[in-house]
Amino acid sequence: MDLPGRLARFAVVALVLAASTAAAEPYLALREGYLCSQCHVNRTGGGKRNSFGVGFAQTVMPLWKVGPWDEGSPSSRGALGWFTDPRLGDHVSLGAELRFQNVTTFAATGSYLGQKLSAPEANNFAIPEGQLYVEMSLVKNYLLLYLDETVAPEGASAREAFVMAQYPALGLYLKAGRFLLPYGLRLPDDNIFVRQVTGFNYANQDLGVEAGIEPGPAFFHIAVTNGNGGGADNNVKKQITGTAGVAIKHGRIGLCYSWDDSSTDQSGSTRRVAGGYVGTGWGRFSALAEADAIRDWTGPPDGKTTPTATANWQWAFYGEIDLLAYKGINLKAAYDFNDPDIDLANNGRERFTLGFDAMVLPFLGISAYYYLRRDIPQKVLGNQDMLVLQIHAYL
Amino acid sequence: MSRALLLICATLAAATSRGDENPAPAPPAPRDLARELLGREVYLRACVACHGDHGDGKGPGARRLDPLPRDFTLGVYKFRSTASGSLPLLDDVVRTISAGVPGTSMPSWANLLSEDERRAVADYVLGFSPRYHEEPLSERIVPPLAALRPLPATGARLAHGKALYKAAGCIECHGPLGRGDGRAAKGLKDETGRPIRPLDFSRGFYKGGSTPGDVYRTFITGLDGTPMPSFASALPDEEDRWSLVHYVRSLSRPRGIWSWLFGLQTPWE
Repeated sequence: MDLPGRLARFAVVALVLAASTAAAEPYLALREGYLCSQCHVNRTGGGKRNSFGVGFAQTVMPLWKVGPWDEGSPSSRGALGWFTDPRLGDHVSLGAELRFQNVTTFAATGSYLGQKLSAPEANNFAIPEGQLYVEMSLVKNYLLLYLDETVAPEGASAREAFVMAQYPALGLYLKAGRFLLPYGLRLPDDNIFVRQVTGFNYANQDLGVEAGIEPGPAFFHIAVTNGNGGGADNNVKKQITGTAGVAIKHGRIGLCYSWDDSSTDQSGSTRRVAGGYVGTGWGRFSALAEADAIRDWTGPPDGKTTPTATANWQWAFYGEIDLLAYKGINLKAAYDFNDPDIDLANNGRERFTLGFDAMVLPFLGISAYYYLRRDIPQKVLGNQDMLVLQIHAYL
Repeated sequence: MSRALLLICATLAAATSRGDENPAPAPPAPRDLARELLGREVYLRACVACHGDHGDGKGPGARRLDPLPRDFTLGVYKFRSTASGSLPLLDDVVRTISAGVPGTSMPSWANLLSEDERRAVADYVLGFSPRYHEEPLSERIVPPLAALRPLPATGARLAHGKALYKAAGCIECHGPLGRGDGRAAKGLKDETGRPIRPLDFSRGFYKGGSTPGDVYRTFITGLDGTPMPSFASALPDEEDRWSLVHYVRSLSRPRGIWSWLFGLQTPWE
């Protein structure tokens, strides 16, 4: 098979697999002046909604509330009318998430060493996310067991599984198990460069412990984990990841850092990630941005420069503006940038996003996004624009 | 048996005729366990996240809300059709549950809970306060919305309302343009000592409802637990009351694209 053909086939597979999205929309929290933990069980956001989030999803978010046509015969709806509560008794609560999408990848051309490259148009249906959540209250309000199980598109696997002790009055918690690391904005699309290149996304979890506290407007989260992206580690050094910030009604600011010396790579690779984010929300309008710098080091553990040692610095930026055009309908414009090696000129890649999310009914949303993607000419896959139409059902 | 029935009928008739001559609060209805259970179930599923297990406004989702959820144990309610300082009627609480409270995190439950469920949970909510069990039922001092007969908004009434707005002291807290920036606006506190801001009328929503009847009710009853007093005695004349209602409502006006974009309240809420 010729190079363009192989590239095209790879592109289809890569794009479908990479179109991985997940729950959590920071713009909602910014618009309402909430922290992630206002609506999600996980204090740092994403995953199962708590009882406030379930109510919010049914009362504030949707374009249409279910039920007006049944107002005359509410008793036919049983004990709780149209209100959906996923609790089973006093101690167990369920949740779920399913995204189904159609991805059109548009043709692109490029060149490499004089050879013309091309990637053809493709269209695919995919399930980028299928999750099942279980929250078990061991001691009401103080101790819970949380499971976030991936059930689609592939075999079942645990995305998060942890025990969490908390003291709600202070927003204090201690988490132990497998979880998403507390770094940056928990954006819903793992392909956003700040999530993709930092590795802090829904596809990467780690094992360890996490603690946090939310005194007044401030919040602090820190995790000590095995490191190395949840893979094999050297069993000696750990990854430390933390976020600290301040959230007020109309804005927030956060600083994040990750220190990872845990690689089993005998050459001594290490990674440092540092970044920050800001966000604001006023009425229908919200905006957020995150910037991260990443340093990957391969060489002596003491950091001394040798002929074989390599250090790579890269940085990434993400900015987003949201406008609530009408109840339940959010327009979004976003810009991504990543310079994968700051020592090389003109090798940055960009992505412009334009589209909308419509929360049509409680627990059901649709969205349409066009991604204008720009990369260096030899990376033809990175120059393919995409149109993603998605149905999102959740509980 | 028939004698017993006759006795009951006679007692009821006597009670009814006494009520006709001198209207008195109705006696509390007998306990309805099924209704109590329904109210409890609805509360535990739909309300507990903010208002807490014990109705004290300290639910797990309450910490970051502004304003904080109502503490039902105090038995102090803003939105009533009863006299200042008294408990609300069941209908008042049902109205708040149905309509929500614009400008706060309290949503409308009208399309999610049936009328029966809203009434049951309203009853359950009222029961958190010892006052509900100890005090007689409150008397309605403002007729139901459907029974109110608003005087029409004329130019003369608006002018009269404007004068009353100043004379009655509304201007002191709500400011000359009704933007909540009056001289006394700073330093106001609610019944728990937390800072509270006078409503900015120009935003186009009123927490107790936006119809003329809703605003009328707020004037007459005041908002318990806040510095907003009852004007029932100060404005005994219907002409004055409706003039002020229309003037205050006239202060609500669109403020252009910036307000549309960045206004703190969206019109559908």
